[in-house]
Amino acid sequence: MENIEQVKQFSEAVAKIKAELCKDVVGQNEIIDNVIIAIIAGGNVLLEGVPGVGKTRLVRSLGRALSLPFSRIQFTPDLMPSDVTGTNIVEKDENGKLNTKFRRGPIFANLVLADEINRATPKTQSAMLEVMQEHKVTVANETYVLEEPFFVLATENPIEQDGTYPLPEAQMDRFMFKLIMTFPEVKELANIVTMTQVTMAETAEAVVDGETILKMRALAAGVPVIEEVLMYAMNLVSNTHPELPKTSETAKKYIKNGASPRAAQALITCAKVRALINGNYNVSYEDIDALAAPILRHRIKINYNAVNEHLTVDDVVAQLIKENKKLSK
Amino acid sequence: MSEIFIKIKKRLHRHAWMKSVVGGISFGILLASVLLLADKWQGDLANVGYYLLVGGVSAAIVFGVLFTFLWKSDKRIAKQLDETLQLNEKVQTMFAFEKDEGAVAQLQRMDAEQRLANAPKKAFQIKRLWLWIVIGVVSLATLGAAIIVPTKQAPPITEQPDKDDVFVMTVWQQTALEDLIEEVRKSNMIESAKTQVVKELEKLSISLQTTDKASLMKALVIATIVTTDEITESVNTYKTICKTLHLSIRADVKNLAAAINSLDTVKIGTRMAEIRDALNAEALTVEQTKEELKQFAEELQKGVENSTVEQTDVLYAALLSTAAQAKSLAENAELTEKGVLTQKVSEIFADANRNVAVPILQQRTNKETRTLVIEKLMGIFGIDKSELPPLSEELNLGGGNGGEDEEEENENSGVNQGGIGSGETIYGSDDMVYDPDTGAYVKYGEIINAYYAKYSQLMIDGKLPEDVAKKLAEYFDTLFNGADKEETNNADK
Repeated sequence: MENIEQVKQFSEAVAKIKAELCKDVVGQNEIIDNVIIAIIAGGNVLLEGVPGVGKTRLVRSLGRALSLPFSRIQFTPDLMPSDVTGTNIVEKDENGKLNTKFRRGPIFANLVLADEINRATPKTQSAMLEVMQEHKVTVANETYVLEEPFFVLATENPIEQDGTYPLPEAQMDRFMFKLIMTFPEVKELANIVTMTQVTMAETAEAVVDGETILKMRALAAGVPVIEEVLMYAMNLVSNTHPELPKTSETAKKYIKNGASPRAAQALITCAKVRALINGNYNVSYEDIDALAAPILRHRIKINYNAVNEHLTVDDVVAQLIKENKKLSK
Repeated sequence: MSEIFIKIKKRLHRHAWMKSVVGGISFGILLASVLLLADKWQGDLANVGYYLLVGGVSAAIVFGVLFTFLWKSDKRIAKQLDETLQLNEKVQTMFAFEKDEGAVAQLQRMDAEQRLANAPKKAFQIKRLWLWIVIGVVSLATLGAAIIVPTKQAPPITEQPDKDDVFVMTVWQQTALEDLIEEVRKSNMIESAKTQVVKELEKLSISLQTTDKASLMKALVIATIVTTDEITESVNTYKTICKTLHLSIRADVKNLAAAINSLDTVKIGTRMAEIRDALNAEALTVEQTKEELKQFAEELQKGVENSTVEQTDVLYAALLSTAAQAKSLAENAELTEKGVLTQKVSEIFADANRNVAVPILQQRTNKETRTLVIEKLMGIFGIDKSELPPLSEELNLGGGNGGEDEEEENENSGVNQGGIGSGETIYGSDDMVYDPDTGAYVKYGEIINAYYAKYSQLMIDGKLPEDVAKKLAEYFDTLFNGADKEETNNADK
């Protein structure tokens, strides 16, 4: 009974979050689902899309729905690492004594929106690395642990190449998902315009808190994965490496660099959450296939052959999935 | 393990059993039926046990193969259920984590069981059941057909003609046969026999033109050979006469029989001369000579008359005439002078030699023509001697040379074996002379024989003018009878 109640609460929480987000973000249902999965799984998300598709709005709404302390960091070329993490300042106390005090940066929040992260310098970007991976900040030999749950949702503007610094692979690997927000359909655009004519402000309300998220995360971790599905996921990641002796033909032909083991971890972790969200109590092949693109697209580098044949990363991932299915039979 | 899963598993295992049994038995029946049908078609049925054995063994093998393929482990059943019911690995997860006490795992099991319980029953029915039914029906139908269809009767075994037993008369064979016919026509074979032999050969030629089997050809040729042999035997009387002559108690008559049997006029002449010389021996008195002559004549007459030869036969007549002359001389009481008796005896034997030579030469020609026909037919048509039936046999009466002793005596006496004459009187020699007929060099003695044969034939054919015939007769008479005759003739003169 307790188990069923837990699952019921899980399902309800997800439904609520989704409902609140849909109030502020029209369409983008898949993006919303994947963001929810990432948050429950404890991963960071990189949102990519042209300006005005609702990247920042989504994160803001998410912060409201999760009733989590939210902060937004607008990355600019002149942003310093200390602007992100915080810095020690000298302060005069009541007695006029000078003391140093650590002033926390905007990173100290549960939900951090790193807007246009690719505009920041590599130095500033690297400051994010430690935070995103370890959920702690070290300043002047002092380490500050961030409160859980902690998420970084970064946005990237793909068209502004001038004045941007591509994210290094190491940082890209720390994002669980890379989600691409596409331009809305006409109907969706109409709804957006209609909605924003009333108000531009986000209207999502808090429906869950951080503790609930942590409980959901713990519950999802218990979702069983059979050996065959696990190996299916592992083969999928392994087959992205062209240098391996037994690899896929797709990788040999189109991939320059394959995905890291974090991709395999992400696949299983997120698949468990997805299964539970969909009312299933086990991970299936379908869950793996559905999450392959958001997990792999930012982790693999396609080669000139793919570019020459006008193939995108997502096309290559689709071929990988097809080939993996054949091999698994 | 989940009860519902166990239930489904048992059902699927039952299906595996059923399919394997149906498949195996159907295959066994089908195979046995097909074999039975095939054997019936060929009209060669085997023992019933054979078909049962084949069907049983094949059924068992197919059952084993099918069962191995169809029987699934729990894991494979779980996978099959997930695929069939599109449960997204729920059953497999339930099976793999059946002992997991985690909250979600328990829920997962419950969920999987619920879904299995809610699955439609037809999902667990035998798929393509109609196919298995068809297989069973087809096998049974084949069995029924195999039982009902009657066994084809084996066709009677007919002897297939030997591919090699094909005969087509060649142009060469035709020509050679025609040449043989012409050769026989031109030969000196006695007319009655010649006509028959030619007729037989002509009949053979006609028959062979329509014969297409080698075996038949051989039969026809052999028949012609046998007929030719019989025809020749019917006209050649020498063997018949010699057989009875040889039974005589007198050695000189026996020797004469042997010489006649050889158909060698030289030998005959020699024997005649010997008998003559023996009778004319100086040691014998007139009475003794007459007595000897009489006995000789009687034996000769007896031997000739005892043969079954027709009295009109020339050889028969010649010998009988000689016997009559000798007997008449022997019984001539008025003849008392030795010299006259000797002369008369010589005349008788000279006449005998001449008279016997003609039929002997004729019969020799008959025999030679017969041999020619047989050998040529064998050669033209490829008949082996072993294929011939027994033909007329030669009469074996000894060498006709007066026995081995005479030959040895001749050697010891230094007398050449060639030449005409005997004892110390030789009228021929071993000199080699050219034979225009053969183009070879032969002994002079042999030439004389051939010349005498030619003379005889010409005499038979009546082609010699009278004066020439007389001269030649005197010549050969002198030749055969030697110096005595010459002296007698000179004395007469």
